[in-house]
Amino acid sequence: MTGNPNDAREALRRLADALAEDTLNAPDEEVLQDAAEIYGDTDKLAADMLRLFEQTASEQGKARLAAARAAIAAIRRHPSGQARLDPSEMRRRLQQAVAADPETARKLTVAARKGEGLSDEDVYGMLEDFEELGVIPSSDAQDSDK
Amino acid sequence: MNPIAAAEETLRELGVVNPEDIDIEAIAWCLGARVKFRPLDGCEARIVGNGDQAIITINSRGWWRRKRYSVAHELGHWKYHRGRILVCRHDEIGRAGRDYPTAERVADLYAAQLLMPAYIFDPIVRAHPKLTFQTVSTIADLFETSVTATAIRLVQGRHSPALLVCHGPKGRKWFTRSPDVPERWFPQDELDTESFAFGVLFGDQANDAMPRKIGADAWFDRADASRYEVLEQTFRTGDDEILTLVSIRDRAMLEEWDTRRSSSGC
Repeated sequence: MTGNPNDAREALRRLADALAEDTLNAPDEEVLQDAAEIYGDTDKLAADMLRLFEQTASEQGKARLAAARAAIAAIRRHPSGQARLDPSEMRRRLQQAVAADPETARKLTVAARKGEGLSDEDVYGMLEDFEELGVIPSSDAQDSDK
Repeated sequence: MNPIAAAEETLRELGVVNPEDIDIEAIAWCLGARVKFRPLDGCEARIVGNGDQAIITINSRGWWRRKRYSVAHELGHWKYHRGRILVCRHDEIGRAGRDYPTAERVADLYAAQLLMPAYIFDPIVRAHPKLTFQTVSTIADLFETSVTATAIRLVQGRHSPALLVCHGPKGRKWFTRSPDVPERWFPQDELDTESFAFGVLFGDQANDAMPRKIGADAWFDRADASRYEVLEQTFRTGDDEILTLVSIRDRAMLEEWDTRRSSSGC
């Protein structure tokens, strides 16, 4: 022993690793026997451990949902404002982007045929989504390139 | 993984144990999809994805339960049809039947399970043994889902033998049946003038307060239909749209299925 707390921690870590290694290498029957001696009913022990795993996973999941709610609320407080292009320019840019996806192009055509053509607002919204996802460069960036 | 198992796995991973835990926007966020609500003129909802990130845009003009369902539907596309830009029209979201595109059916199946997962839904439903629109409305309120989506979920989920039929002024729009109802019980295209549903759709009659008995031949165009009675209850879902639950209580209508299956050697 050196008296250094880091050395002591390292020694404990090695001991824990060795015990875990022993348990992993032991035959199942031996592990069950040891567990029965220490804890009694091994079926109950297994059920308790499973419940503990599920509870831990559930708590982590709930924490992820809570973080998601917080992130959504933050975005709502600070919506991004994007510059609007001329409507014909917006439509030209959208056509270029959609040309890469024939299925969507077909659906948009059907919608238009039913008298439900994309409004300027629809076109603006789609372009905004494309830009936010990096599908197309932002109009601001394009303008600055000119 | 099938849509039912996939939706359930997602919810369990997120620690969802009660209907009120199903925050569809937060779930979407955890799956890499951000939800926006804005007025849409050309469609009901759309999803644009790039890599593992997506933006789902929902028509803000709809009512809240419809919007929730549309988000869940688009998440179904995100799960199964990634790599495409998808634009969904109103009539492609949240209906039953087999005559609409497979991709939309898969997305609907996923949506129904995401909003009404079996491990939460089934124990609650067991407390409501009668399949009526009162039961549908109670459960729809718990899960914040529409009457239509909830009724489809109940009928397709083996609650009890029944058909759910949607009609408009031009006839039947779609229908679905419980898995234990034999396929020969196929509802007529047009509403029978004797049916109570006819009065609700074309007359000024209110929704049926309770299911009512009626001859099965009012619903099924088969020679043997006149031998049976079914229970009928109609609920108006729009100015020109009604839903009818046709419940089958006569075991003979179901038992003949077993006879036919055994005689054909299945």
